[in-house]
Amino acid sequence: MKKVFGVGFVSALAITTLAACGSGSDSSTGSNGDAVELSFSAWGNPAELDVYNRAVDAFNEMQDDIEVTLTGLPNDNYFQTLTTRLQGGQAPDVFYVGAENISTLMSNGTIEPLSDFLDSGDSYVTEDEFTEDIWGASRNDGIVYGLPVDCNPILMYYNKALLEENDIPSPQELYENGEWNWETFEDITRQLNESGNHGYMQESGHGAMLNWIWTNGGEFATEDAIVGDTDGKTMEAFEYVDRMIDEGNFTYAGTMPEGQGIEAMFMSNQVGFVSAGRWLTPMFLDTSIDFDYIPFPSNTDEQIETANIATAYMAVNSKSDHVEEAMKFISYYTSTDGQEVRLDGEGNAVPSVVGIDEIVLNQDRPEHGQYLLDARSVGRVIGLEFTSPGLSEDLEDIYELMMLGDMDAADALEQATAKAKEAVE
Amino acid sequence: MFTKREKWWGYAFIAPQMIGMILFSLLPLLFAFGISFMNWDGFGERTFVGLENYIAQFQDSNFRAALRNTTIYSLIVIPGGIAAALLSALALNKVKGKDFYRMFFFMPVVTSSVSIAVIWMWLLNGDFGLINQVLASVGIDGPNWLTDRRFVLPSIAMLSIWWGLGTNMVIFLAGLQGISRSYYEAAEIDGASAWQKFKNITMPLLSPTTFFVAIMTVIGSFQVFDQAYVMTQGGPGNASYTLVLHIFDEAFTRSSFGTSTSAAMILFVIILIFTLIQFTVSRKWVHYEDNGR
Repeated sequence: MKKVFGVGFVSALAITTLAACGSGSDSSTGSNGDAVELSFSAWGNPAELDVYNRAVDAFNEMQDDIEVTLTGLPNDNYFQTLTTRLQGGQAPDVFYVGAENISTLMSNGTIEPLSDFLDSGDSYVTEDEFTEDIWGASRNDGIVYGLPVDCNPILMYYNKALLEENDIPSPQELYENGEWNWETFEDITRQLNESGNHGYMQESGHGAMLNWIWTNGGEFATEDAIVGDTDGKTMEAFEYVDRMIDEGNFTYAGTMPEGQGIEAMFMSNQVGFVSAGRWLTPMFLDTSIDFDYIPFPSNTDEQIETANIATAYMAVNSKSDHVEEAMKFISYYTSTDGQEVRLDGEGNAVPSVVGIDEIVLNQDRPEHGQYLLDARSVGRVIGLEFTSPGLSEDLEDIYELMMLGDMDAADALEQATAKAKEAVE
Repeated sequence: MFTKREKWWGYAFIAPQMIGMILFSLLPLLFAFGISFMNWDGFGERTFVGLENYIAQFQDSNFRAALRNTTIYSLIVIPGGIAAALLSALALNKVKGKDFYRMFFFMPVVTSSVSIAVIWMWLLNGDFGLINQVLASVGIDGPNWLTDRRFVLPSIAMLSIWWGLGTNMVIFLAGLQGISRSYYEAAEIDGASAWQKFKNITMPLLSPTTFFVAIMTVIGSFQVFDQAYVMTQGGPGNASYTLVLHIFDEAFTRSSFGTSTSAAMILFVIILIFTLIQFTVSRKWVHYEDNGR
């Protein structure tokens, strides 16, 4: 009898343990049986998570059926953490996915297609409410798999005091006079370099190179092909960046020690220009630094050229026990109301839906918030290159060699296009 | 002879270790071996592709670079690490305050690899790093250790030697202290020089320890990951891209578990071959006081 009891106890324990291990996701019905509990993960620093929680709280308060809990994950290795949890059946119901990673989760069916839900009456947002050219790799064959959380058109931040100290004319003036171009930028960054400062911090990511390709009217990729090696404008952009670094006007950010990222260099008045989305603004506003926005200098006849728009998407775990509720939540989070709650005031991004642009302008500093909206209106997200997992890292490795002076511009472009063609074919 | 009851107690005591090894080493190894013949992104269906993943690895420039880098790194770390640890142990064996120095050299071992890597990133920085500041003070223009393709791998190897020094040194010290004084006294009576004592007594009697350290260093050096991952992410270009970094990237960046596990299996075979060679060669140079019994 004792033996039978023992075997039974061990079996029950094993079954309970296995059942716990095999649960599809962290979600469950609330303890009182009323509200569905949804887990939500995103990357971000504590200040950003506070911003995200504004929309989570608003959603939880407006209805009684769903209760969402946000858990922040570190930026470093976010995707690796997420995929490991997805493989182990322990991933949250909804989560942020980077633009460069979403295609992986789409292709293996890990995230739910959303188009049908967006067309239904249950969604808080429809597909056409989002701004154009925002879908990038998150839409395949017309089906949407991830909703753009918000967006971040990349522009330049400049240190007003540092420029004034060096008798450099205001970029605003140059921009308004139609003189804000590559040539002027070369002159300004050279002056800063000669005075012992850094002119511009150049990063090695693919997006950082696209800023120069696109402002020269070039293309690295079309919707379905890699064309950089046949486009003279793209070659010019590579040569410009290579030469600027060689001459010391630009500083490759990868040569800075740990902790000396572009934002630290900017806040310590060591550099005139850095490029980023709106995400650096809350941090800079906490300092006394006098800064403003300016679009990327153009090398075409256009006053403002195509800007790279960084974005992240929000997706629903296919193995969630509450897919409908999860879709409902992300549709609210990315809706006009959701974005307004999050981004009003000192926000860290620009809306990805149309109609609430004024929330970007509700700030006294920096003065030219309008440029964020202008950059969004002429910008687009990276498409084809982000459909291949790992390609952005491979391209970054190649660009880094050029920026370190180990490879010339022509070789860098040739290798980058060859690697990209191999990856996307 | 053991009684039946004693035998059962023996099995009971080794059971936790055996169960742990089967669950967390043997089964994952077999699983990885199976996956290495499949096309699998970690989520969806697995399709059998035979040797395709293995062939793809040898055709992959990233894998070849990782293999080359890991070999170069090992060629620096294995002899360098063993020699540094042996010399330190020999020096410490003679000095007063042995315990203090032992603790001093052992400190890096108990510090997290990430912390150490971050500190060394600062030390090795070409513009601001302490190492180049010191070199500048004696008129030497130091290189950009971590962003120069010629220096990055030796820099990481140097850090690894320093980091692993404590462990190997303590093992050598234990080996040295296990050698009976009577051998040296007998040699001194015969008029042996310091070099003769080292060559004919210390080295042969320390050979089992050296063998153990060599095996562990070879395995550790082929599995280098933390330093390269934190300090350079395999860069610049892929100048410090190592085999384990490649395995990690294939699985978690490229979502290709098939190629990742095939690379892991190749690494397993490489380590196995080196270990077998060491065991075979050891018969000629490793001396056990009880003749190996």
